[in-house]
Amino acid sequence: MKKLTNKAVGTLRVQDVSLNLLKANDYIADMIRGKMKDKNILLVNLVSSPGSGKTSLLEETIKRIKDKVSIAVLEGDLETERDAERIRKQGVQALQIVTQGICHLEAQMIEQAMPKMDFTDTELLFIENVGNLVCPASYDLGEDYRVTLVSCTEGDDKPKKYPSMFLTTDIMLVTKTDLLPYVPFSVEAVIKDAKEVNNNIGIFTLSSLKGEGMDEWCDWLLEKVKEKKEAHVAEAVS
Amino acid sequence: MHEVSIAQSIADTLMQEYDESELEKVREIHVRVGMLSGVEHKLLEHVFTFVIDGTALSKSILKTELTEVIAFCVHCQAEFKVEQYIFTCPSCNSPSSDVRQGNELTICKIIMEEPIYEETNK
Repeated sequence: MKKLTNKAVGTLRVQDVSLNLLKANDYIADMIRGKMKDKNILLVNLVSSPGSGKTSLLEETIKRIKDKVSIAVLEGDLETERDAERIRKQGVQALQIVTQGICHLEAQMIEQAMPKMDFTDTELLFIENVGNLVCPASYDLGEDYRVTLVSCTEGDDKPKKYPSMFLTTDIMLVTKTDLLPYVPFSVEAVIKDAKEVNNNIGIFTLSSLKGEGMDEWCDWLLEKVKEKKEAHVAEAVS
Repeated sequence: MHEVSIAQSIADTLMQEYDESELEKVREIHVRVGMLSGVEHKLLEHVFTFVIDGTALSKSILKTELTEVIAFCVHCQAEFKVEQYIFTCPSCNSPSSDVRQGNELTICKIIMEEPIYEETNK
């Protein structure tokens, strides 16, 4: 059939591709994981909603175990140096990453911050993520363990509301248990919901303020620091 | 919440894979968004129009395809659809968080237009 006009005729070419959008992040996360392995450092990524007590937990944890292991902390926040200052008061090395509005930490940010820290003796590195239960779930930071805090004042429905985070969480910490008598929060319900999303999740309940449950949490950390070192030694021998 | 960064990384990923003359031919970009990825897919399509403004990709539109959550049950050796975020096999009731689908954030298809100037009316 004859066409009546001269015009550009486009043919559409369809290309099937598979380009993972988080590929760059995962690549850097693996690099960090490799570095931490070489240096024998246990890397723990702390995530939660804003105000569930990540910094208070760190302060109390550091007080209890800083004589047993050498600790460093990377603090992520949208603005201010405040959290890093709080940690430094406990006598450990802390560096603040100010994301300037970005709602999560990415592996690239950790990679850039690392040369600014001295890891000569460090055995345990905490990353305190930006307070947010949504976005940090998608970003692997090269951590050995992802620890998610749920405070009693937030409500026991968090695991079902933010399934991606709990699915990628290794340990759930139910915090502020000293407030349990005053709030309608069921520890049983939060554990049931968390297990429905992720049956392998480990659980601790604690109060940073009153100290209840802190020993179990600190013992777990010390055990994992030890395990990481032993794995490294075993690998070196074989 | 981080749709703008994701939209930016879609543009960046394509800019790494293709040269500028090819990018100008892109008309549709299809992205598979898993229900567990935490990305609001309609919002992503919308913010993408702002991210590509003034770039070689400016003639393209983003189309998203939401994928449901599928997990694998070891006992039944079968996949099952996860409903209401209950990661329990509906056949045998055993828990499983072995997610086989639902986490993705992947560019799966690109449609380009190859302009051909045809002499017609001959």
